[in-house]
Amino acid sequence: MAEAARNTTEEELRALHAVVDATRLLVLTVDENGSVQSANRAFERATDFGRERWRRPIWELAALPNERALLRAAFSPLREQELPHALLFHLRTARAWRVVDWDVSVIHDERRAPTVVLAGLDQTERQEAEQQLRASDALQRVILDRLPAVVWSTDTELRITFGAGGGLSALGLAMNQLATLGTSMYAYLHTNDSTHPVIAAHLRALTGELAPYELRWMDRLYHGRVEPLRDAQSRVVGCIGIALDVTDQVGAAKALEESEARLQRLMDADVIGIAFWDAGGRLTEANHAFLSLLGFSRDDLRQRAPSWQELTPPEYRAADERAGAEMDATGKCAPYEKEYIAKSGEPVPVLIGAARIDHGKDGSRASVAFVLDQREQIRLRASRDRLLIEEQRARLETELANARLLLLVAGSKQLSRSMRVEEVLSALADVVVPALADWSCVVHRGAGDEPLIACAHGDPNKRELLHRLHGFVPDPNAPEGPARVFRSGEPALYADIGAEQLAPSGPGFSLVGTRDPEPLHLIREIGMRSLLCVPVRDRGRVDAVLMLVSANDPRRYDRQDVVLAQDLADRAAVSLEKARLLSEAIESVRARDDFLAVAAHELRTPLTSLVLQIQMLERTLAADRPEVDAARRGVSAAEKQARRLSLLIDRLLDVARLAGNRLAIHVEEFDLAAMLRDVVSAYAPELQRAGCSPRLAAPERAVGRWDRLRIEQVLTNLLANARKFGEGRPIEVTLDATPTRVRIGIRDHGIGVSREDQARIFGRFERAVSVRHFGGLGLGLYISVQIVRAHGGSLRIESSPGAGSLFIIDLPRTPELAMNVDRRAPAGVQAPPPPLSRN
Amino acid sequence: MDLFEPPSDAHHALAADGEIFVWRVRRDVVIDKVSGTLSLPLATCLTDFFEHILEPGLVFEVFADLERLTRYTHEAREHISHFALQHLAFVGANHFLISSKIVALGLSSFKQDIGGERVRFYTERSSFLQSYYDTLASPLRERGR
Repeated sequence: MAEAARNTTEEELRALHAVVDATRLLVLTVDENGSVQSANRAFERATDFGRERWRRPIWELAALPNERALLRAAFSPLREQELPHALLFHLRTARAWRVVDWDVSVIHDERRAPTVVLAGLDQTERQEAEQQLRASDALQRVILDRLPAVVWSTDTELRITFGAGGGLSALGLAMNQLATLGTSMYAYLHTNDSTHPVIAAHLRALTGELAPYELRWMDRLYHGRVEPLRDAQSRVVGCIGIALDVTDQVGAAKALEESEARLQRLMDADVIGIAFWDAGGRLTEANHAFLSLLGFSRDDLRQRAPSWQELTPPEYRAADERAGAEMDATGKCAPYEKEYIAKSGEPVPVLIGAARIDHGKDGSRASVAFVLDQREQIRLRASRDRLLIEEQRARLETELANARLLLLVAGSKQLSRSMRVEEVLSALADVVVPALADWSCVVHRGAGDEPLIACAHGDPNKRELLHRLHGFVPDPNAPEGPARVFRSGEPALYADIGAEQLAPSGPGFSLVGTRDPEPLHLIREIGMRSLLCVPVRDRGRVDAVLMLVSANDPRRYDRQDVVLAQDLADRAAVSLEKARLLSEAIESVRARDDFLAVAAHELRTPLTSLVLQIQMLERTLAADRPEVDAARRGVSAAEKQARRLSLLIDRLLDVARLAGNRLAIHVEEFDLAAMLRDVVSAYAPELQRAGCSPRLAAPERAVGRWDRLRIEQVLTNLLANARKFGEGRPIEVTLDATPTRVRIGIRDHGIGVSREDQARIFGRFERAVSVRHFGGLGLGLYISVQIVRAHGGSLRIESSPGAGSLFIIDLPRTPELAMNVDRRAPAGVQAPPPPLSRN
Repeated sequence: MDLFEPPSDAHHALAADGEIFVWRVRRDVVIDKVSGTLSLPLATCLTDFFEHILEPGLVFEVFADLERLTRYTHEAREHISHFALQHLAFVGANHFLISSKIVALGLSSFKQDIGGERVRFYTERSSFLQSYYDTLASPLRERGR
């Protein structure tokens, strides 16, 4: 029986354990010492604790220190009477805490020993759910408060029952403090008008409709919508409304619309090229201005949209890429200059600015470019640059012209101060340094065989070398250099002279006219990299040559230098002429003084003789018995002296007439051969007395038209001249005639005339010999040459000292009478130029 | 070492198209070095320098390294000529090292203005330096002493 009862109890106990294990409640039993005695499966599942971990004091299962202290105080020792019926603590588990709400009960066994039974409900999920719910509510509130909208609800009387949303602040209402809760919408809107858009919308919502409206309220624009609020039975119990503040959106949309309109107008206006590029860099759209700039049509674009790379020359791609990077960073790029390649292949310069306008799905962005045609600007810029360059060039030219003018003025001033030929040459050499030359040299023919040379050098250390060069006289036959200028009368420019040209074995001779190593060495020392020689002309003859020398790089002479140097040389020529005229004037005065002395002597001689004859005649006639023969001889002698005086006076008158250009020529036809025979015959006794037997060789006749008396005067002058200078030796007279001309030669074998004197013996009052040894006025040749020239002929001399002289008269048979005699020209002959060299 | 390298305390002027340095190497010897274009500001810099160092009786010898001078302006040339003529008693020899034809033209005018005996021109640096050494080897030039 007892066995059966025991079996029954055990079965009941197993069933009870099974129930305890099956429950979701966490069940623990704790003994009187506070140690956990048993735990059900739910506890083990919740904690992942096995027996070895939960068999411990109950307070050690609490997670938080204060909970552990509380449990320990209650269970150790067990204060049964003070135990609470419910406990809540955080249960430690193998993974995390669990919040468990425990029911506490105490049972006693047969020995009255207490056992505390704790049955706990795991509240963890519930608490988390509650927290999530609270968070969700808060989130909803936050979202509502962040919305630029107002959400509200009303009851059927349009009393506001709820309000939320960020739009409240725009309405001057704090969130969650809708003072209007319970207030009627009529009162809030201060209206009783049922047609007010908000009121009307609510009234329509109460009828079950959805009612949108638009309202401008407190300077803001709202788009609202009111719907019916229904209960579980779908009955309308009020309204629910939402209003969005669309002020900014509408403004932005309007601005966008206006911007698009402006862009469209800009595109249509075609004042600027506008092009749209897709994210891949292909041209998708462009206005007419852009297309026409590059020569494309819309059809071209439709058929195949070109890429920016195809339209851009390689040298501008880097600039485009930099602009792209700038747009990626800032959305736009600063305008820059580039070129496009037109359809024709021509480069088109443009100014371009661009901006990103859109996001592509792949994150890349399309862009719009604004393109300004720069061709005209480039042309203008190039034109401006050209003008600038031209202006600078003009300024430089003006400066140069000014400097050249100053040089010419200064040169003229310096030259004009020079009264002597040597001074002119020296001034000319000096004035060109350094403006035109590093050093210069002027070579003048000089008065005799000796040329005059003047040099100048800007560098004092080189002047000594230049002075040493003075003694060197260049060969006048050198093919180039100053010798050539003397011969040709034209400037000679040697822009670039190599060192080899001045080497002793080189072709330096052609330039400087010497093969002598010393002057060549000196010239190399002084330097000669460029040489310019210009003539200094006087009356068509090259009197001097100005040599300009550039010693070093980089000066090289050019045509402009030739012009300037020639100008200076011409001014020097004027000064030289002035110096020459001054010299001639001085010489003329000297000659005139000589003449006056000679004339006084020449006139006094026959005059004295005449006076003596008259006195003698007077004495003869005063005698008691005058001798007729003696008187006749006296008269004859007096007449002879008077005639001689008359001749002298005639010659002086001729000179005066010539000086006044009043020499009268009366032509008539006569036989010159016959006249020559008569003159030689008439003069023969006088010639013979001087030991000069005349020999005449002439054709039978030589008829022409001349002034008989004047030609006779010339022949007599020349015969008298021959007698005077060829005394004791024969005189040959010849006449050669052609159908148009005649030539008379009168040769003596006397002292002859030097070449130097030949040039001047035909001048007024000039003579080649001293007055003391050879009398006469020195006018015979001067008058003769003027008479011959008046007939259109010439008179010249061929002579050398000690070898006699040959005077040659050349006359046309029917002369063109030329009375315009050059009074300054000293001679009817042009002597060959004197040599530059002594050689 | 370049004797004509300006010292750090040289009087100096810089214009858009030219530069000048002026300094004194002895009481009576002055160096100036000009490059580019000699315009009025540079010319004024030069004359300003002299304004402050003129002493009664002292005669200056000036060495102008103009090898890198390519142009000058009319105003600058006139300014310097005018100054030189105003202070002719202080002007000794002026040595110019030149390489430009244009500058040579301008200096020719200067030479005509102040007299050829006061002006020397060089196209070789070695000769220019020779004159410089000769000048430094010579005693100080003062009138009346």
